[in-house]
Amino acid sequence: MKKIVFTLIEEDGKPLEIQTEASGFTGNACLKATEPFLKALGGDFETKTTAEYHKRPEQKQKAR
Amino acid sequence: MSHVSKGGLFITDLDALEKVCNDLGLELQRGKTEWCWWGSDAGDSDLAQGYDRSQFGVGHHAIKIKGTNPRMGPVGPWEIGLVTRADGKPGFEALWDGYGMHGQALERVAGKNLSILKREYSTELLRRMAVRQGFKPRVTVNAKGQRQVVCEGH
Repeated sequence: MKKIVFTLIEEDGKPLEIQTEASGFTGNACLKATEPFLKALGGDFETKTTAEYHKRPEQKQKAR
Repeated sequence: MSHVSKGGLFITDLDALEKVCNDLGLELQRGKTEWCWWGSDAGDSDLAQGYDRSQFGVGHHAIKIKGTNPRMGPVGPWEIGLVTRADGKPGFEALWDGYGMHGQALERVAGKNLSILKREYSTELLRRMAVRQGFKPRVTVNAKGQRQVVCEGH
């Protein structure tokens, strides 16, 4: 089963952020599947693997 | 006075926007190329960066509060304008004048910085896109209270 979950993250004073998670795809197929959605939303987006995404908090801490 | 803002609401699907506007008590006026605001730029506030100030009030479509009769100038009421994106990307960006009672009236319905309109439009757009891509979408709320659009398919 292929699954894409879009989570709308609203925080006061910040622009709406939409986090996208895809599962059940092989290789780059998840990027091909999610890209039309992200383009339609019209904003800027960045793509990360799950491993890259979970590195973020750690990197932020090191930067401090 | 002039307080025209942009809030990162990018429109690529007018049908989705129209549906959401109807649900919220707004009305999308397709092809209305003038959108009402204070009407003059006094250069005294933070305006929508990247846009030509002389073009405020001019766009491709406009959104009004249902049942109102918008008028240009301080008397109001005002509208949200859909204009060509300043960054040249496809679709439109929403601009509006958030000043005073007429600006607040728009934000009462569409949300501060159009947050309600953005959330509902994004949800509807994702839902429609999912159907087009062969997924079955459902809208839920996660444990953190955040809206989710879950798309499943084979």
